[in-house]
Amino acid sequence: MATLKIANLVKRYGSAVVIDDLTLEVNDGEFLTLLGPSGCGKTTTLRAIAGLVEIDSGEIYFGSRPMKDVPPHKRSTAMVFQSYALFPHMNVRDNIAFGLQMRKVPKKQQHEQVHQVMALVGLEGLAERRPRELSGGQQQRVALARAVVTQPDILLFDEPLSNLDAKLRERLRIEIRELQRRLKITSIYVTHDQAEALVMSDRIAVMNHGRIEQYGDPFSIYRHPLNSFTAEFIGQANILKAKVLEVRAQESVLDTPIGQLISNTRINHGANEVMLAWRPEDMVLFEQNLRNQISGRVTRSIFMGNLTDLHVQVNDVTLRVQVPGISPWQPGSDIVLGLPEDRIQVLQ
Amino acid sequence: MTKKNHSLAIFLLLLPGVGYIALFLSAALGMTILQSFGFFSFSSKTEIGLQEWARVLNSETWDSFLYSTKIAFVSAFGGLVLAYPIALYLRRSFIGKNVLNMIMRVPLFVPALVAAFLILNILSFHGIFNEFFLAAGILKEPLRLTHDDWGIGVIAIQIWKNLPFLTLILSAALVNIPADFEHAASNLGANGLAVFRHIIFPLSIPGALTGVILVFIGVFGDYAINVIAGPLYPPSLAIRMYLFGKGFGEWGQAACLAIIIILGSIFFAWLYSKLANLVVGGA
Repeated sequence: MATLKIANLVKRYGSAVVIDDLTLEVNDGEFLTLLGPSGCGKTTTLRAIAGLVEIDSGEIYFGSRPMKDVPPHKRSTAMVFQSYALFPHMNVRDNIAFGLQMRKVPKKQQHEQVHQVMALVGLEGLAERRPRELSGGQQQRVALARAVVTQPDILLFDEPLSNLDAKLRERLRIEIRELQRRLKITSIYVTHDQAEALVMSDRIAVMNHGRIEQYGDPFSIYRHPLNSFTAEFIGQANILKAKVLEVRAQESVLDTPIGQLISNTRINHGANEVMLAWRPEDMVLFEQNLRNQISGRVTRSIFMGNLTDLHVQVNDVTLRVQVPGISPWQPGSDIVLGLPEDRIQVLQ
Repeated sequence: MTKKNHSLAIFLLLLPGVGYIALFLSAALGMTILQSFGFFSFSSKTEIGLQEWARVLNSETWDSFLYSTKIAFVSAFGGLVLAYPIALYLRRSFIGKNVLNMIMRVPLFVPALVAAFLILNILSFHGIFNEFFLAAGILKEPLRLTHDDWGIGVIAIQIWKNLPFLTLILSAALVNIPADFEHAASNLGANGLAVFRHIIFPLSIPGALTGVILVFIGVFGDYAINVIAGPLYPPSLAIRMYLFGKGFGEWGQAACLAIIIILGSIFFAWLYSKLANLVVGGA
């Protein structure tokens, strides 16, 4: 068990800066997700923690111990790879025991630990099978067992569920999280799937172009995005430019392309223009008690099972609105949307 | 084009190449087998029986068989041992990689006989090697490195000649090992040597042994290099075959030796494939 600290990490490939002065701290036993689009540097960061990628500058600390000059086989990390990387010439038992074998754990103890971990992840009866004889879900469990059996200080996950179907992914993400909670191992999880990040994490670092855009718990990330990238990457968002008309004690009045809006955020003096964001599900239909009332016409109604996604034209702007269940408002309908003042985020 | 015409077109396209190999293989092999049992002898009347085999299967043939097997084994596996670090190093990008690749390929463009003469200049009794170490005072008398019982000169030439080929085959085998396997092993506590021993070596063996089999068979049946640098006794199986055929006119016995070479090659190819399965365990 250990804390992880990354200080001013930089990694370049030629002239391309893949990790750009990244600083991060992870508490002991915490589950942190690095979330971002492809090419944002999240996997490179993970591999730098494992020592599989040489960094150009900065430092990584496990506890108080700097890792820059520590080779990967001497770091107390264990990684679950996207491809699982199960050794095809070894059976399940030997794959799981590999790390213990490298640490010269006595055979009898290896056998016991492997047996325990196999029971923990639900692999009983599969010890003699080769990786090619396993399903995707089983391979993923073997990769997980192989990582946790060595009792590492830090567990690393490189998009381990991306090759699985949606139902299996949903099930396994919960299992991984429960296993991590039970073992209390500091874990870093890389994914581009925002739902996965929101479900599994204690904290999320949203990355873009090698930098952290926002860092916080899932609720804060989702409810209070600080910038348009985070607002748009996590879930859906309506983002508009607004002129600041008036700043009051506990609220601000803003002029937007969809009309005047009131936000309960007191905007700093001197800011003339700001970016606003709110979530589609924050808007309510025909709620007259709200001060923010927006009239528009439905242009599209998309039924998605548990909710309906409405596209609403307001002046030149198309707003996204999500309502639970089936919506009676079909394209062509005129509707009035209410927007709570506390749901409007002022972005940096 | 109809399905029937399509199949006919494919057959006609393949016929010259495959037909050529099949015809000459079956005809030549068939003739050789028949000659070993006394049919169609070039030197005497047809006398069907096992008399040619009885003449050939003696201690001298056994000595030649052992010698050919030994130099083939040492050349093939010695070459593999040298090829591994080169192939592993060539996976990286580095300055001078193209130059190293070019140097490694030079032996491919040198005919075997020429290679034998070139290396003879180095390894012979008054060659560069002996003269240098004598002059340096390290040797008191020259070493017998060619035409010796061990076949040192033959092995040296065969390794020089086959090293680029083995390196190429091995490089192809190594490229097929996903980098994540090595990363996973390293991440789980394996240092460089352990990664090689537990991951790279077992996974590259099937590909590597393909190269080894081909080199082994080539060296096992070699004539030219053994003529230039091999011992007087025992001669290689191919030299023995030539001596009986062209020298003594004993085509029947020559045919028997040819069959021994072919069967030996098939046997060792089978043995190596079993070895590959054993090492990899069916991966």
